[in-house]
Amino acid sequence: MKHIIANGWFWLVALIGCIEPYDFNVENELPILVIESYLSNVSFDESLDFPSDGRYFYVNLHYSSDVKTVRDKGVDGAKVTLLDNEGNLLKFEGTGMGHYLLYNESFKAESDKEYQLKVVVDNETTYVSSWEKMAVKNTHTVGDITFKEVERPTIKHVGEEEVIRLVKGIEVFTNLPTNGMNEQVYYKWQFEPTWIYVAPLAPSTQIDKVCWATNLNYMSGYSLQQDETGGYKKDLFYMEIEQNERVYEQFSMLIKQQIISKDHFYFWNLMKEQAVVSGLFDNPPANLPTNFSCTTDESKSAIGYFGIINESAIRWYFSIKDLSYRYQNNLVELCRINYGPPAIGDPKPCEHCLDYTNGTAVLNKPNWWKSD
Amino acid sequence: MKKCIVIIIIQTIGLSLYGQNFNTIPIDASVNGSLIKDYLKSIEETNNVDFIFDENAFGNFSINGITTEQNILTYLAKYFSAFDLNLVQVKPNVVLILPRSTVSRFYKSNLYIVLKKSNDAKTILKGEIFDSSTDEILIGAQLIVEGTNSGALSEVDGTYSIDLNNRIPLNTITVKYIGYDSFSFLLILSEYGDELEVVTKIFPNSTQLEDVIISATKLDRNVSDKLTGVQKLGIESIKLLPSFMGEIDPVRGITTLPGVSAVGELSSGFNVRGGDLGQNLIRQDGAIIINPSHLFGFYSAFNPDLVAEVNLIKGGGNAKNGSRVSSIMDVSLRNGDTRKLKVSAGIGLISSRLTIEGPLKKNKSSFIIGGRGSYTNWLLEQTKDLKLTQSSANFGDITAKVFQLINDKNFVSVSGYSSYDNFNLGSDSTFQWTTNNISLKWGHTFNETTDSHLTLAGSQYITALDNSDEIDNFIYKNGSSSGSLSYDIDKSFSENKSLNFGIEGIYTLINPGKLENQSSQSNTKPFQIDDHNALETAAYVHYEWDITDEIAISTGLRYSQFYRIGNGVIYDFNYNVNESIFPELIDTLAFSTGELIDFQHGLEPRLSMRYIINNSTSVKASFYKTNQYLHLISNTTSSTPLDYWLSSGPNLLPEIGNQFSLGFFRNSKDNNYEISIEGFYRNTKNPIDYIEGADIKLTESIEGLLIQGKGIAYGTELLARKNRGKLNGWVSYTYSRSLRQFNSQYEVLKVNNGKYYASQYDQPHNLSVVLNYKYGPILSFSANFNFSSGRPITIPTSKFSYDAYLSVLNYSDRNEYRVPDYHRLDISATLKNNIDNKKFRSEWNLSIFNIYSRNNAYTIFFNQYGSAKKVSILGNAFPSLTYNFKF
Repeated sequence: MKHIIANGWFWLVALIGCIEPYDFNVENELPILVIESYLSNVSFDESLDFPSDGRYFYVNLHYSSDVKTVRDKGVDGAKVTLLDNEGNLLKFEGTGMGHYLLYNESFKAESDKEYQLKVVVDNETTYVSSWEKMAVKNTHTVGDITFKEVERPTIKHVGEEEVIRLVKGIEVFTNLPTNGMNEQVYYKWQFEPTWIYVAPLAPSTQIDKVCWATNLNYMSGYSLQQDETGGYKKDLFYMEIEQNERVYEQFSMLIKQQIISKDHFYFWNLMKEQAVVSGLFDNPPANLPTNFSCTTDESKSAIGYFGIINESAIRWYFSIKDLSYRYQNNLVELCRINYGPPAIGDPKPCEHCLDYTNGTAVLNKPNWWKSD
Repeated sequence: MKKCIVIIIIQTIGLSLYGQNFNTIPIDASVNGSLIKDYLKSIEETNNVDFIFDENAFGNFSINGITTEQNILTYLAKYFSAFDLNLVQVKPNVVLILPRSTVSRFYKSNLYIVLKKSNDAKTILKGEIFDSSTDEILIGAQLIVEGTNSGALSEVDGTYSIDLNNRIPLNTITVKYIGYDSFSFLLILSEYGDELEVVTKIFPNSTQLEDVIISATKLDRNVSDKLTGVQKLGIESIKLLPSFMGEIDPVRGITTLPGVSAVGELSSGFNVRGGDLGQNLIRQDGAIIINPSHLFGFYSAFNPDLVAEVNLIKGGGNAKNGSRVSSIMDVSLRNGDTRKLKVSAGIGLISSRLTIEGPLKKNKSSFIIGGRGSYTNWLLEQTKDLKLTQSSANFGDITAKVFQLINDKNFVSVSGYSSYDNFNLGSDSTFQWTTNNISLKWGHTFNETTDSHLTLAGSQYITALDNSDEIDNFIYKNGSSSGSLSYDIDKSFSENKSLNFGIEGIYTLINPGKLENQSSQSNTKPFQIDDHNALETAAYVHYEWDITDEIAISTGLRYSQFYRIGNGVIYDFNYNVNESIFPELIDTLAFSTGELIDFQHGLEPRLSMRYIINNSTSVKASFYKTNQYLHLISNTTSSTPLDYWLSSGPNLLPEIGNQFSLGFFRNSKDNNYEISIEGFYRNTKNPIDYIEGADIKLTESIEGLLIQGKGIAYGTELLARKNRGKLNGWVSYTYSRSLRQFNSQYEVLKVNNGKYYASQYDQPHNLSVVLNYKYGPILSFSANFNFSSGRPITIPTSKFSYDAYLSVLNYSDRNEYRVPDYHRLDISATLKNNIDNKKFRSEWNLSIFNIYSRNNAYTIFFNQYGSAKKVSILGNAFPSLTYNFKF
């Protein structure tokens, strides 16, 4: 509801007002350690059965940066350990650029245990999380995935002009189970898309005619739901059909469903709200909550939330053949438009799928890809 | 009682210098050498005549030069001529000795009225004022006794009464009324005068408009009033200010006064001495107005054609005022014309208005009704933006008042107000808010020293958000309804002592929020925050005493009580939650209908003292304490339809304000110039703010997300004003700070680590310059310049990536930085047509808002990478042309 108001007000203001850049000239801001981490009740081995390529538990460490177009600096050489309330200790191994993995294929969080993450960075500065445990004990499997065909008005650029067009797309839903727990359940869904890309002008015998593509920035968001009753359809994401080559052959989405604690939910919710353009009616800005504290220096703080989640996943497939109407794959026509001679070294995705520009393409079909 | 008619006409009636009584009084050489003063007194005592003169003008003059017996008046006329004094015989046995200039001014006999002097210290002058061309009474005509602080306004029946000091037998009375020639006559007090009522008829003028008097009551109110922090602004002054889109806004007018600020354009509400929006009580004829604007602040909720006056009391004032810590703003509606039917209207680019008024029974009762409506949709449809072409925004309101004079001791008036606002975004969501008010007032005069007012008022304010989206499909409402009764008595013991006392009660039903699904398929969970039933009562007494000519006090005591009544649910919270960002809900207590949930009460003393250094200079000091039991919940700088009210209770303590002020006030040039400097300090207990990250909308246990702490505000207000003349206006400057502190043993209740920080209404510098210039009778200009320090803001100071987000922002301490300073210049010109035509008058008003196109920062928002963008509303010069007419 808040987004409705913020967007509406923003547009009304934009009509009669003026928006221009402004510089606050913030200086001497000390960087803050950012710790991305979580544990779930699904081990690496079990994650292969989603199906997927498998997932090790990880911790990403990096420092915050100035409000400019610079990337965060990863923190290497830190000691990252996981403790449980029975005194067991597991170590994460650094892989470079601030990434640390727990190389234990069978390890997973247990519902009756508490866990704490400890990070020691340069000069022995130590950060620890609070003791956390799973929000719910029983695993909730992901409900049936369905979609609805829709048309949404969307701004498109035609030449130098912006025009409003109705664009065909689909809205994807999951059925939430009835909530019989007499308390609220906090859901989070994450998405990992993979799709087949076929170079339209490549001959069928060419090795790099068919690729499997991914893109970390496509559908990279998440969906949240604070549920009290269950028993309804929850909208997960929207995807355009028109001019979307990802769905022309076969598109697959790994939908990961996570049940998290209330404070963990507020952490993700606040992060999502901050991604919306601030308007008159938005809440005043607030820093993300954290359950980390610095035990060696009270003046320091960390950013991040270490949570223990109840995880399940489902893989969903889709293509334009699943639509009730006929939609033509137009890649051949687009590739035959003569834009002039290509520059030397330019990628040629029309002829080589490995040159695909909307993501990372590989020739090897994933092990878990469904057979036709 | 005999009536003496003073008529301004044409003929000149010759002055009679010699009367019968004086004809028989001789003077001879035996009195040569006697002091003239003593001689005249002896003649008065032995001959039952009266000489009226200024004794101080004579000094020790003595009689001389008499050689033969002659008539006394013949000698005196020759004698006093040497001193530029003339004799005027106004009655057979009453003679005035006046300066030649005075006799030149009052050159007609009908300009002299001799009133019988009473045996008390004062004599009451009574009279009536009429329009000489229509013989109709004039209401609100101003009568001034020149050289004194006395005066009066003619009442609804055209009568007036003025107390005259018997020690001053000669009084120049001047009658003023806008649109009429001013008129003066000499009022003489003599034991040989007549018991009479003066009937005065004045002529309308068509050549020169009356100067606008900014102060509606006494001209030296700035110096003489005993209460500090009281600002009056007549609607005529407000109408002179440049307007936005031709719309006159009393609230915008108030913000040009010291200590009062607005958020900027597109804001509703105002801040007084650093207080919150919800710490101001706004009433129109006694009924509460929750939202004083339309369309998020574009237009005022008050129809300027019906507003008589705006009265702002900063901090407390008379003990009859309470309920809000920062200020009380009373908007008074005027009565309709009791003589004839009138119509006035205005046509603008986006809105228009129409007002009709007239008598129900001539000179006894009247009505006035005015309506406004907008038509902004055509403007939105011109845009190429999808959302806006499918959107709409409009408002309308009706204001009406009926006045009935029952007899000379009783009157009744009924006022009503109804308004709506409607904003629809992209055909999906519709915002609506409505106000409906009614108030009834009964004024009763017991006797000359005692009168009373009974006021019954009801108000209802509802906001709604209707979302017709297929998935969500809900309607959300919140609102507040209240009914009040107050009975107020004024008793005047003497010129120097008066008492005001009374009782009041306000019942408020608050609906903080209710969300309902509009279909069974809706994905939105319905909920409702329980209604709050609140009863606030108060008894007060206030005493004003002019202890000496210099020292006066105004003191009072208000005892307020507050009851929160069920049904309702009260939540109990555990704030000792180090591992969570929000308090933990640990218990729920249910109260049944009528059950007492919470009781609060408090004494609110008021004290104001004035010391007059001389006739044009005074020093004032005051202390006011005020309790506030209802709280506005809004965590945006500007009021929005989603704001709502909560009452005090077990989890929300009353806000308590203690305000001190000290000021120096000086007038000069016959009260044409006013200067004042006033310092204030206010501490507020239990102001409200929000836990970090709290979402106050759609939350049942909202009180768990609110925190209460301490607030301090202090500053100095300077005002320099010129009240009359072709060029008039004022300059006001305020330096003030408004700080908050939220410190607690519990981390979750702390803000900025428990340190003092700037509140969102902290603006150290605030300057307002208003200038009006009248170029002839038909053309006038006005300019208004505003400057204020930028408001505090919380900004991102660093960013980081997290999960899928390339950039998440990290923010500074709350309100650590400021947006750029704000300044703007508006000008306007008004051209009147048909000024000679009494039946139809019209005017064109051209206003240019923000003439040098300053892009003032209304707000600053940040994209996900922390880059700041400044949003300016009305960043260009905004001209508007309005045509107003009346007949």
